[in-house]
Amino acid sequence: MKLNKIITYNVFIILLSFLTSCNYSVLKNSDVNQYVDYKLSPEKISQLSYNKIAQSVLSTNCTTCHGNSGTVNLESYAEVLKNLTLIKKVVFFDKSMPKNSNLNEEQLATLWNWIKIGAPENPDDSHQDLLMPTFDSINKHVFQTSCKDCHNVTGSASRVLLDKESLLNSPREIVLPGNPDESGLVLALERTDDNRMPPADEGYSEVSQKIKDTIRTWITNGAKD
Amino acid sequence: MKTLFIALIGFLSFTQAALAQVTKITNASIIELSSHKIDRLINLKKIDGTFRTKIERIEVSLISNQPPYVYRSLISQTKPLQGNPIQLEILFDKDGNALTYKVLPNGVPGVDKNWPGKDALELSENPMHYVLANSTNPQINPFFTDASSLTLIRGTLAGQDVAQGQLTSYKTKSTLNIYIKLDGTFISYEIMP
Repeated sequence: MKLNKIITYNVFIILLSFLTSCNYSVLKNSDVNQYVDYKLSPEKISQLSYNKIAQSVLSTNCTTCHGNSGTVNLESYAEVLKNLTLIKKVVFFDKSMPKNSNLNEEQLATLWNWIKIGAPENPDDSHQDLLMPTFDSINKHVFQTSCKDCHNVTGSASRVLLDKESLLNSPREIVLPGNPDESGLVLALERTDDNRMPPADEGYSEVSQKIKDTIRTWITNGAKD
Repeated sequence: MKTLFIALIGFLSFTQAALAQVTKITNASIIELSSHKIDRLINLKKIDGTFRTKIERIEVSLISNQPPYVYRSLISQTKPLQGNPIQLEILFDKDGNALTYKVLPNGVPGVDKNWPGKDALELSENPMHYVLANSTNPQINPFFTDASSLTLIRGTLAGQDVAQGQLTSYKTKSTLNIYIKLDGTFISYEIMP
């Protein structure tokens, strides 16, 4: 009899554990920290800032109601930061805001990724401080950021791969050690027509002068490291 | 152990074959590389910019017994009313490296076809991208391995202004027509007997 009680008790505990874990899953699915796939290129992500969000999302869709006279004020960086979790919840999970308009895919991706990277006030330009005239550094901070989406073996620009061997040995003369002026990489970054890389018509902005100068220095030094 | 060894050999062979496919230089590659070289030479102000706007034809042939030269590319601008078109010759090695170039003498400027979207040079490059990307298609393959020329023609397709890249091959009497929108995007292709 006593054994029966123990078994019944254990079965009850096991069932309770199952039920609790199911409940936990449900709660977790509605958690505001869950993953939503709004893709944005690494380059665009690095340019996200409060000003960008204010101009492209908040001013056109939110601040007409959520000004300083309302309960939720979205007119300053500090106020937006205070309401960040709420914004994430009502826009991406409850989808109850904005009330009088819909955010398009680009606005959603911009807002989502800005929140995801910690809602910075200013764009992240820290990677440029670390940029060195070596292949590894250029690869990490430039190619992997602005080029790899197309320049990979299955990408739309698979004819021009950006690993070190391809750069140095391609018949397209992408890198001519000691001769940056005639290296295709430099020409592609510095040209001003619609063949400039990264391509403007795919939403990429021109790389900074610091990046251009660093790549020139690497090639001038012989593109060895 | 034996199975693992066989699998390893198989994997290495596959990798080698895949790499060879990626890096293989063919006549079609030489036509495409010619366009790139022209773009480069114009950017460096080593040849006249009219090769960008007036390029009309690229012919490729094999060179024998003149190492390291293996391929000759002859690029022609549009035909003039009288005389020979302006032409550029580029010689390549077996790996597709452009080793030397020269503008041939006595060329006469031809008419400008005023391409309204992309320039003639880019429009001549895009059909080759299609050939390179679809080289395993049995209809396309003869124009990949043994292309003899590419001619850029301005025409219409279903009432739409298009650029037509007309390819010939040493391997077949058929021609391959690749139709490109004036903004450079691919429309379709057809094989003409």
